[in-house]
Amino acid sequence: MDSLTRKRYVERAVWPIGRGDRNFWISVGVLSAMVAAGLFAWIYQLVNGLGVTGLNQKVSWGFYIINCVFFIGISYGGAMTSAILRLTNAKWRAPLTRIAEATAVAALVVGAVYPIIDLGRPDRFLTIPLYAQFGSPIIWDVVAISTYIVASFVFLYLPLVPDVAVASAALGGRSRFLAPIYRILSLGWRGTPAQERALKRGIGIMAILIIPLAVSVHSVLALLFAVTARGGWHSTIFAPLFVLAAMLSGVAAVILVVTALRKVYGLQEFITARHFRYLSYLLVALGIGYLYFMISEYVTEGYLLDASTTPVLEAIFTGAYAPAFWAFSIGGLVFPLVLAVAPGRFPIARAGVASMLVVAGMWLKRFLIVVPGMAEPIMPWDWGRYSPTWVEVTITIGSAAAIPLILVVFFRFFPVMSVHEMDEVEGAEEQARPQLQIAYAGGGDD
Amino acid sequence: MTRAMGGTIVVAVAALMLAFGNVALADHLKAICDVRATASAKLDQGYLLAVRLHTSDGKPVNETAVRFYQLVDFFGKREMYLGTATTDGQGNAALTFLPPTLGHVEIVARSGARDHFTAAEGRTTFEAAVAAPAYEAETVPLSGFTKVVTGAVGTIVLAVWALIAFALISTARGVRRGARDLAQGDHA
Amino acid sequence: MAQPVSRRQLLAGVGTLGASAAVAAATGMSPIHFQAAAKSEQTPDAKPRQWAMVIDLRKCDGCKKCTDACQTEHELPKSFEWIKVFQVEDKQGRVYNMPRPCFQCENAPCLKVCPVAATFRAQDGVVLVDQDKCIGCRMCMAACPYGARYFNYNEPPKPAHPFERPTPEHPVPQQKGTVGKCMFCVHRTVDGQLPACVEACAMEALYIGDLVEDVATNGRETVRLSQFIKENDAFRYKEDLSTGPRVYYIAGHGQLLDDV
Repeated sequence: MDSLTRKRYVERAVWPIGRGDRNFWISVGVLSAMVAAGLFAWIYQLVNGLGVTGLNQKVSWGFYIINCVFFIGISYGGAMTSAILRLTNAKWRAPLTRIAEATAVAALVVGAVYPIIDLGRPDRFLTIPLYAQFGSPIIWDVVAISTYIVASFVFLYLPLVPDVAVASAALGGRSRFLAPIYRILSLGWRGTPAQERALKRGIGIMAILIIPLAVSVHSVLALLFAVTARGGWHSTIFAPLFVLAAMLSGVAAVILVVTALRKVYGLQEFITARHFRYLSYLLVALGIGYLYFMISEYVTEGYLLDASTTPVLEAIFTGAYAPAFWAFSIGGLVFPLVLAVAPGRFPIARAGVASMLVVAGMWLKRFLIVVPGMAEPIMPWDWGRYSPTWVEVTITIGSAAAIPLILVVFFRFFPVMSVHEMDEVEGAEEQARPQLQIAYAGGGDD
Repeated sequence: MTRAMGGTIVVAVAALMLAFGNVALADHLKAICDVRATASAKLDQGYLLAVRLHTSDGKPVNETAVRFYQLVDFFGKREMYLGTATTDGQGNAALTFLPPTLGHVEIVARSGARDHFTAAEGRTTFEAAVAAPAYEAETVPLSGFTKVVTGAVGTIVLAVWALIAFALISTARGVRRGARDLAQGDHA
Repeated sequence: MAQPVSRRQLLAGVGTLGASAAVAAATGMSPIHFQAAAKSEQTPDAKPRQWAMVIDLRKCDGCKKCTDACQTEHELPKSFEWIKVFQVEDKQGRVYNMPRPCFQCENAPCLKVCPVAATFRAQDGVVLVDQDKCIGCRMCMAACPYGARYFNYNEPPKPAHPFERPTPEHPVPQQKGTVGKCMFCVHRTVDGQLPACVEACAMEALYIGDLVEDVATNGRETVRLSQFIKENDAFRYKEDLSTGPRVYYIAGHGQLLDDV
């Protein structure tokens, strides 16, 4: 990358920083309104109890558990794009990693709130560490998710350290309030070989750690269902199935966010059709893997047709949940995967549409796991029914809006593309060190 | 229903008997029920509840069903039905009985009125030195193994936290040390 | 993951006595009688009882007096059927009635999955819920294969005795946002009273029993529990899940009810 291109890269990466233009405030306003509506619905629920939801004695888990699994799944985009691509030394990842890591943290934070929203006594949430029973899948969840949140924050922060100076320089003298914060966050980064070594080791450890952590989180989420004696839930493939589902939805979400931000922040020069093609390959590979796991589960259950699993299979293949199931399988899985990799025009648009369908489809799949499993007749009674109320729908919309809100605000302060990672990948450290030192040192500090 | 009706009849007959003195009794021979509990030859069979049903002049009462009960204190004093045995030609009947718990046992044996014999009842008490094996709840399989696994996983979790802390802290320290070194280098 | 509870019961008992004594002194009401170890709670050789139930499906006529009595006794909303009577159709198309209380499983899935041990087993084998600890995650409801647990989505009905402090043994009134279930009326059995459902059953189909003293009674008839079970081929529902249920059913085999 020649120095002119690099200059343009840095310019685009910091373009949103400090830019309080009309578009920014309109989008923040709209998203904040949606989040506020979600918060209002939650407060209404806190005051009146869970009776305001559509949950009942048969279907006692619904939208909130679905959303928890869904949003935490979305966060896997970070682990996939940033960690795995780093470990496999895929150079094309560089402009994407910051977006992926930030989306991961945003989605994770939203997803991790949902178990609290679902509690009947959220005021007792903090008693959990006091009384924790380590045989309980809920405790496994608490441990895994809290570890993963901390790890994701660290994994976002460490590669950010060199970029903080870039951001600070871009802001110039415009904010005296932020300069000391940037100074602390940058840890005095100058780009020296010793510092590079320390950073590389830290990021390397996190990249390796975050993958088994990610696997563990969705595995314990799956075990929440799989250790019960319900048809459609008590399946040995659930843990790998959920992990793959998370990776699939995570990569799709990253594609979606990248498509949007590329447009909004004008990153077209650096995030090109090539990136979308490679991301689409990743998407399709994960999608085929997920399809394989699904087929394995359904053939195993559908061949023996024992009494516990048959009612659920009937319901999703030909019964009340069949429209949702086939909409997911065809419209949310097979069709978008074909759309994404088929040769032809408009690859980026197609990747965007495909990823939107996959993300929506994966939400539907989580619905198809949770609700039929709860509604199925485990005793000689009728199938249960579940109709979510405005409270659940509003909270869902509000939480979904929280993710782009967090991203838009985050990129107001930090570069949207990782400058340091691009330099690393380009091996431009030797050439750019003098310019780097000037760029880093000009950030208004000691 | 039948029990209530039968009870009413018995009460009515008893009332009649009392009202007309021994006139009704003269037609009925009084049956006497002797109950005895002996330790069974086979220890695991517990005890043998032996009954001899006879009249006051020693004549046996045969072909009569004798019902055995144990007195229990379970939501009030109740009679727990144990079983039935029929008297033979000598008026003997027996039931094997393995007490559920050790300690004081009180047995009631009852025969119903039959032909011209009255109903009879006999009681005996004894200290049970042999009892059925104590009830044991089903043990959870693999409980020891599960504990080991839980401990191992807990250790791994702690190790992961330590690694995350290490990654963060060592990087921060490395970067800050580098900044200090550079600053010192500048000033040198 | 069962917890020893003698200390808890003692504390609950002392707390209840203390609270009720204070209230009694203040308002002149008679204090609630809560014995820590009543005679009927123990066998003759002073071992804690291990409660079980036998349900004679030949006798159940589906009148649901057991459900009504339970709801009255525990001040429950109508949707809470801690003992629920199912109408089951057998393979020959005949319908029989099956009351289902909580089975107080010896290997209870609900107990294993509770994150805060709000669900625990008492010394007498009954699975209790401490609604002061329950966080309302409803994992236990997902795990119970018998649908025997009920969640207080709304405020329970107005309590008859507003100053009575609920305990796991006597969870009256229920608490919003927590889970409740049948507890074999241990608050009644400790005082030598039959469980509400057993007492209310007009068909005498419900038996309460003790596995230690090997006795069971429906209020009228008292039988030797192990013998009763063996002679009548009693079975346990969904036993293959290894839950170890403490409720035995005597199969009706689709028989019509006799006029007893």
